[in-house]
This record gives sequence, structure tokens and C-alpha cells, in this order.
Amino acid sequence: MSSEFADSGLMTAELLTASAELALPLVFFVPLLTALLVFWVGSTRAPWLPPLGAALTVAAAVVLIFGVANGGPQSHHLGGWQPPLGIELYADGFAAVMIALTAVVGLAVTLYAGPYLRGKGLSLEHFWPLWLIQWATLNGIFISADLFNLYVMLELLTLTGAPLAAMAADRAALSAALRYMLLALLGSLAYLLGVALLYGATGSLHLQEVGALLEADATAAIAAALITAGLFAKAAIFPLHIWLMPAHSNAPAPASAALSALVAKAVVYLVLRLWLWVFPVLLTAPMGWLIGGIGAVAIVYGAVQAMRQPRLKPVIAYSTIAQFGYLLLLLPLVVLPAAALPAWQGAAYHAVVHGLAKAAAFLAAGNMIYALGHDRLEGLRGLTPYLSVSMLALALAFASLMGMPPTGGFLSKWLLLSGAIAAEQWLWAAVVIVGGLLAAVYAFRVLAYVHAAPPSGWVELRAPRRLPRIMEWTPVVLALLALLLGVSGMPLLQLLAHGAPEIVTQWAE
Amino acid sequence: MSQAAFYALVAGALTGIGIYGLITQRHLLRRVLAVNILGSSVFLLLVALARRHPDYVDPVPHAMVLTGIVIAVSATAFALVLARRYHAATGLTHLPEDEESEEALAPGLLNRRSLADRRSGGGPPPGQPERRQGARRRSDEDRRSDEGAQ
Repeated sequence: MSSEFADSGLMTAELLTASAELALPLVFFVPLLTALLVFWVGSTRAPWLPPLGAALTVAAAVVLIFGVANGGPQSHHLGGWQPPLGIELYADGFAAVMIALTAVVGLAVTLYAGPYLRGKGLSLEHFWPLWLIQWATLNGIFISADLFNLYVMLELLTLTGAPLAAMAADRAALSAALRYMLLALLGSLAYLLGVALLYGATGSLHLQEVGALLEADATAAIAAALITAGLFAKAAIFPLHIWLMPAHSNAPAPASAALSALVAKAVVYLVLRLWLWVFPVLLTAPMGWLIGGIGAVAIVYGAVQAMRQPRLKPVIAYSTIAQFGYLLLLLPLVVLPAAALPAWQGAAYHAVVHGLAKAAAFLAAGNMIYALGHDRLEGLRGLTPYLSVSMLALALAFASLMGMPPTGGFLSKWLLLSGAIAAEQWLWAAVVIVGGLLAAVYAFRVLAYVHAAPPSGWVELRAPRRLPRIMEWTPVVLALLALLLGVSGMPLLQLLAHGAPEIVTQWAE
Repeated sequence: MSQAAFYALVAGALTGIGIYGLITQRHLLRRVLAVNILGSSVFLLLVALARRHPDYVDPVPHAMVLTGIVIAVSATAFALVLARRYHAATGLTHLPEDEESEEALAPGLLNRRSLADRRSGGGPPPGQPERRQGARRRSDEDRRSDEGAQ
């Protein structure tokens, strides 16, 4: 690795490492300030401003990721205030991986949103500030090391996510956004109640400090239960999932992609972050089984619901509910010495691959809505020539979601599976396999419609609307990246190793 | 009983009322109010926590409450606007309760009956605002040919 940098890139690498600490606040503040500026100036007067903000955000993210890759976890104290009072920003490998995912999907959403929303007659003036604040919030969740700061970020996520879900402003979208809003508010208040209890017990809000000070008593257990339940409501984990399908499938396609691939994912990230860094004292085998069991039910339930949907976007939305189940399987496996490392790598890898594949799938579905005016599966028959590129993206994304080799989905599921097998956890191994098979059922059901002959007597009186090229190719690039992650997984896994949680690394020695 | 413990108990009671209200009430305004009561209960607990030391008041929970109030105000404002828009669009003051009515609200979503209709009758499913021009024209032709047959 270092020899590659030795000649030309050594100076650059050093410079990047040095500026990584500076990039840490920038990944949050650049999109936030751009959003305010866009809101103030207006995107009709300065249409170049949102893409510029997105590009600068990606640049800051790249610098930060390089810094973490070369110099290990980075931290920054906002305003120079030290942690007990001040807010610490902290980026380890896990955060860097998620920031990378957000940068890629965020760029795709930014490129796609302009032509899509303009073509559908929706307001870009409203979309840009919401989306850029949402991007800032996502990065904020990944780098916050302060429990209360995380609460603020969670609320911001709701306050940007619900308007995006309501953008179509018809009956379905408004009722979906309201349902999302009410459940998400309940979830964040439950989270805040838990944080208050943790603060009462430890006198600290700093993630790692609370983790070090926390004892496994009743207060900690109640706090963990409140926080976990609150986050489950916001991430649509199984019994609290009802809001997700209508909210994600009625949002405009670029918003659906962001909501499903990033927003709900960031909340699941937080569940894992808190259990591995703050609550490891509470993570006993039965507790792991409880959460893993919820994940297993979600995998089966989401897949079965996805098979029954008559429209494409609900299929993809229910698939999100199922795919989040895999992330929860980490918690029962991470307490077992033989399974901890592969399960940890597999879950983090899954978060990234699912994000890419899900964004690709939603954008491909958006292409279908754009071209045909609907997303009914029945109407997909015989239309392959018009939408062939988009359908290629959809097929690649589905291949990754079901874990077909050589996609990234295969690698993440393989890691989870090998962990479960190494620790002789046959139930979890079976869940991973069955989940993949169920995903294949709903994926091939959709693809079967695509390749079926058109209904007899079907005459196209109006040709499908032509897709702008950028909309056609954005989902393909995302799906290809998900595929690429299956071929070459090492860079991501190396990045992930920086600042891995103690509960994983303790078995390595 | 100390003042802080009393506050904490009231906070617990308010939490119960808030969650109960959010679950049992269907009117959107009442649900938003229930969320606000729940929020107030959390703030009250934080204020009580600030007094857990006998000698001094901990400022950190107060700062949290201040931030929390700002967020609660903006979230409430947005929820109310959303509820008004929903009311203007549907005339309803509550969300559709079950999945059946959710499907009725979602345009373009085929339910099982219309799928069956389509299979048996060969005609397109009814009530689809997003249908393409071509399909609608085709259905008119179908109807005309059906009438001719009768």
C-alpha cells in the first residue's frame, strides 16, 4: 500500500491526513450552509449552487475518508470545547464507510433529482434545501460522539425526511408523511428519555465515556430498551414498520432512494453503534437473541410482503424492511468469539451494499414512473426495449439484494454466514440463507414481469416518455458499484478495521 | 419526598398520558398534542435530573431542555401544517386506520379485486387516475365492442 504512494502521492497523502481533522466538521457544515444559501438565493436564480454544494461535500468526505484510512480514527472538538461540555465529532472506520456510502448515493441523488423533479413538475426550490440539510444530518449522525447531539440529528432527519415523503402532496403522500412524522416523533422522544436516564446514571453524554461508566443495572436496561425501541420505530424495524412502505413508495424517486438507502439506514447504524459502543455491558446472549430474533422475523416478513405487492416501489420498500433484519443479526453473533469479526464485517458491508443496491433500485423504479407514468408490475410486460438500461440496473440491484455471487450482497451475506457457521449458530445461518432465497422470489417475480410478453391486443398509442441520459445511467452506475464491491472488498474492510469496537477486537488477541 | 423525585414522578405520569393519547386518539390535533405532552414529560425529567446533586444545579440538562423545546416547536409546527394540508386534501381529521383504506387512498394501487376483474373481464382495472391515454382509449373501445356484442 505504502509503496504505491512512495513516489508521487506521499506528499498528497500526508496533506490529506493532516487536513482530515478539518474535514470532519466540513462534511456536516458544507451541505448545511449550502442548503441555507440555496434557500436564501433560490435555486432558479442559482441552479449551479446545489450541485456545487454536493461536490464540495463529496470532496470533504473524500479527504476525511483518506484521513481515516491513513491515520486512523479522527476527532474534532467543536469550538475547542472539551467533551464533558463540548460536542465531539469522531470518525472511525465504521463512520467513514457510511460517509462514503452517503457521498456516492448523495451524488447520484443530486444528479438524478434535477431532471426527474423538473420532468414530473415538482418543486426543486423545496427539494434542494431539504435534501442538502438531510445530507448534512446523515453525516452528522455518523460523526457525532454525543448522545444529545445525536437526538438533534435524529429530529432533523425526521424534519427533512417527512417533507420529502410529502412532496407529491396528494392524499396518499400526505397521510404517509403524517404517519411517518408521528411515529418518528414518538421514536425520538423515547430515545431522548433513554438519553436522560443514561445522563442521570453516568453524568456524561459522550458515547465512549457513557459506555465506559455504564453498569448493567435496571436504569441502564430501561434506558437501552427506550433507546432501542425509539430507534426501531424510526428505522421501521419489524413490529414498528407500518409507516415505511407508504412513506417510501409515495415519495418522489430520488427522495425514496435517499430515504431507503440512507435515512432509515442511518438509524439502524445508530442502533448498532449504541449497542456495540455504549451498551456492550448489557449485550448478553439472551439480549442478542431477542434483537436477532426481531431481525429474523423482519427478514421473513418483509420478503413475504414484498412478494405480494402489485407495484414496483412497494416491493422495493418492503425489501428494505427485510434487508434491515440482516443488520440486527450482528448483535447475537458479535458476543461469540468465533463469529464476532466476520459478523461485524458482514453487517457493515451489508449496510453499504444494500445502500447502493437500494438506491439503484429506487432510481430505476423512478425511471419507469417517469417513462410510463406508473409503476404497476403488470404494466412492465413487454416494455424492456424502452427501459432496457433501467431494467439492467434493477436486475443488478436485485442480484445484490438476494446475495448472488459475485455481487457485494453475496460477500456481506457470506461473511455473516461464515460467522454463524464458525460459531455453530445454525439458526442464524438458516435465517441468512432463507432470507436470500425469499429475496430471490420477490426479485425474480419482478424480473419475470419485465421479460414477459405484452398482453395480447396491447397497442401503444402513446410511446413511453424519453428518459434523459443522466437518469438512465445513474442507477446503472450505482448497481455496478454494488457489483464491484463483491469483486473487490478489501479496501472497504481495511477502512472498517480502524477503530473497530472493543467487543469485536477483544477476541483477536 | 424531595422536589426532584416529585418532578420525576410527574414526568412518569405525563409520559404515560402522552403515549396513551398517541395510541388511543385518532384526531390528528389530539395526536400532535399527545406528542407535545410526551415531550414535556421528557423535559420535566431532565429538569428534575439537574437537581440530583444537593449542592448545585447541573446546567447541562437545562441546555438540553432549551434545545429540545426549539425542536419540539418546529416539529409541532410542521406536523400541524402537514395535518392542515391533509385535511384540505381529504376532508379527514384522522389517518386511515387499516391497510384497506390505505390502499383506497393510494392511487394506482391495484387491489386484488380489480386484478381479478382484469383477468376475468379482460378490461383494464377501474379507477386509475395515472392511466395512460392509450389504455383509456382502448377501454372505451372495449366497452363499445362489448355493447355491440350484447
